Amino acid sequence: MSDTEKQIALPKECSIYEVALWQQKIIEQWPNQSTHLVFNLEAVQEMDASFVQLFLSCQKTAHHHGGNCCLINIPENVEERLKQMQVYDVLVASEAEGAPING
Amino acid sequence: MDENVQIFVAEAEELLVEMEDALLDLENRQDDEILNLIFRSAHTIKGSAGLFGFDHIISFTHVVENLLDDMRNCLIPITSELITVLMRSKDHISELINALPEEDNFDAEEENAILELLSAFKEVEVPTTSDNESNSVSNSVEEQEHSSGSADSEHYHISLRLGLDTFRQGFDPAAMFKQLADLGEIKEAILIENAIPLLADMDSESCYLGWEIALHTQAGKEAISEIFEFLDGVVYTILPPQSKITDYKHLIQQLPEEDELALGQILLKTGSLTEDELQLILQQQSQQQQSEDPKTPPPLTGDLLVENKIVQPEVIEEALAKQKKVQTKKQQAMSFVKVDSAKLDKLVNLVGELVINGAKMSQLSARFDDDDLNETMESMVMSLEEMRETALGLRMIPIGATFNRFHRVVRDTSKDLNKDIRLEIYGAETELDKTVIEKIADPLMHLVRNSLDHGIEMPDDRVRAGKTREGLIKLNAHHEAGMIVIEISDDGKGLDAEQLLHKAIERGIVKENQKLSQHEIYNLIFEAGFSMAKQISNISGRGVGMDVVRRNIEALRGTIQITSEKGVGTTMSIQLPLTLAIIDGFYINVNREDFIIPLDMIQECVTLTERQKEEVAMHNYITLREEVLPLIKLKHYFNLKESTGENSDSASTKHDNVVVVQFGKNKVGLTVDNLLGETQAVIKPLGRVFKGLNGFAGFTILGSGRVALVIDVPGLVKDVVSNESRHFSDVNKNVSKVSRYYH
Repeated sequence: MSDTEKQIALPKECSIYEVALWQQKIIEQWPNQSTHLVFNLEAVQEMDASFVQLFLSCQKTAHHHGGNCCLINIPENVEERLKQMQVYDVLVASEAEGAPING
Repeated sequence: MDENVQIFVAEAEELLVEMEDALLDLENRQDDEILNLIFRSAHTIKGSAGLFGFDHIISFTHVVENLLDDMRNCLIPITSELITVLMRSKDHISELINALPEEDNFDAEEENAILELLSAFKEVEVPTTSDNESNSVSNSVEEQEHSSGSADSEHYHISLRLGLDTFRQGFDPAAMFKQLADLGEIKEAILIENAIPLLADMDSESCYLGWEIALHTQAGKEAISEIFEFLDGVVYTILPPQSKITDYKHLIQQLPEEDELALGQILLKTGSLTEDELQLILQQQSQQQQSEDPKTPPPLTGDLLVENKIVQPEVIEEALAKQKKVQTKKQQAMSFVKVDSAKLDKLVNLVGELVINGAKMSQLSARFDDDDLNETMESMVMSLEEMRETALGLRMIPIGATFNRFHRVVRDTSKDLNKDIRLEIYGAETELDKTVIEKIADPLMHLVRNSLDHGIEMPDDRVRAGKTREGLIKLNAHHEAGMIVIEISDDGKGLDAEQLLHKAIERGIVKENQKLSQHEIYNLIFEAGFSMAKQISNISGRGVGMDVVRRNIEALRGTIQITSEKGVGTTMSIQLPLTLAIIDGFYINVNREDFIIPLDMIQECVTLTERQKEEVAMHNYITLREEVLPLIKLKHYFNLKESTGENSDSASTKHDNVVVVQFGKNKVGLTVDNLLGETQAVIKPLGRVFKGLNGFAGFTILGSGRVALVIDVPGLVKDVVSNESRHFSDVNKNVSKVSRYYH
């Protein structure tokens, strides 16, 4: 991990019950929002729409500061959910070029 | 025929008239509304025919309707040839309807020819247009996208903004997309990223998600709407695809027209609006009204629906048109009652009998010196007069519908003749008795076709003569001296009196040394077998027709006059009585015989001075206010024998009065014995035995029960004018010789 990249590993359960907590954590762990933010989803088993929206907000914030945000190690079920919500392209495909790692 | 079938036939005929007018309009002005009207006419005829199981009408009209639909969808261009085929189709539908209740009695050859033409239009035109526009229905969606280059028009467009509490309520947007996918195919979904706050500003438990979605589905708007309806705070609009818009428009057109529906109800019924959307708009409407000046009218539902992109403007327009149509139909239904014309005839006859009895009662009451009785009688006679006017008014219809038929005649015939001719109509609102209108239609047709064929020159000839290439035929109707005048005029080559005379001599109609006035020469065209056409065409030229024209007009107690100028044009002027049934008459007697003169023909009544009586005794004219007035001595004209017996007072009354009558521009004085006043007369036709009698239009029964003959003023005036002009041409127009002629 470099200075220009911040990787955050997400937990097994990513639901609305934890979203506010994780929002706070991200803000704290990603003070320089011009750096790349990378979410590692390796451990994720469940993810609801509030977390998807959190990613979208992070991505927007990163873009806002000239940075980037991407997801890595996306489990199949999460990938499916992102596709179902029609945001896969926005969060993954469009960011793939700028993403340092994908797995 | 079953009464309901009769109603169907009557309504279908009205629709076919509308259809023909609209087709003629469409040829000059390609307008969606006109095309819709034509489509609706065909569609309604087909639908109504379905109620009675008239399968043949249904199947033929269905083919026409399909073609019209393709025209509406711009798959077939509107051309003059296409309009001609549709006109023929309309004529054929008319033939099928008029043959009812028989369905097999039709011209199969004509039908096959039309069907072949209709299918040729479909086969030829559709592939050409589909290259540039959307492909035919059988093509796949993908093919359509490739060919049209625009997928959007074939998909629902859904604008969706989820409510803030969506996550808290446990709703999963992924499930929503799954439901949408179950309805069809999500072609595209664009996330609205702008609405999502930056990380630090976001309440992560609130939902800021929204999409613009393109969905391809056969499902209706309501089915899509159901996916979102349980979501609190969700805002969405569903715009149907282009094809759906056409469907909605069709559905709106097909809505039954019994109920007057609000705009929202029409849109709901056809699925172009959902209940939620309607509630949203009504709420918005109410809020706007509350926040604005109470005097300001509330925003219109249609405007709000379009502003909010809930319903496309064209769908709103169609719904408003439907609403208007239903309202008009309802108003018409309230204003008009369709009545069998036979019932009207019976009513008019009964009113006629009442008029006779009223006159009789009036005469009887006059014998008693009872003020109350006379006053009551007077009031009753006034009511009867009003009743007569009303009853006759029921039979009066504007001539416009008859005139309008000639647009088609002029269009088709001028095409056949390779001429360029325009028809102008004036006085279409002029009303005439229904019977007169029915009977005048054929003579008018002959006259118009004659103008088209013989009157208007070929375009090149017109240009050489310094005229416009386009010829002009005018139909004009107006009131004149208690008569209806119908003029058929053209700006063609006019009548050539010299040629007419030459032809008449050649055919032995006129003797070589016979002297004729110009008026008489023109009238030769009404002689049986007389034709000026060098070639016999299917339009005219056999000399059959103009004599029938005159006979038919005269049968209506009318006359026809010609004015013409060589190289400038011709005007045929038909004078017709307003009505055939009941007239206001003037009661006179001559030699104790009773006569009625139609009141609207009378200019004045003159009681002769002694000097005038002497003049009348010597000549057949009097000088009235320094003008020579030709006289008809009715006693001599009708060959009435001198009255004898104790009651005879002929000596004291003979030639005491002159009734001045006018027909057209000619005035004649009728010498009568007694002027007995105004009366209402129900004209009854003379029996066959008296058909040959000149000078009578019919008879009537007077209040006294006596029979009075109704004088045919036009016939008498014409007789005098004809004799006068012949006489004048022989004796150098010496007025003083008129008297000698009549003696």
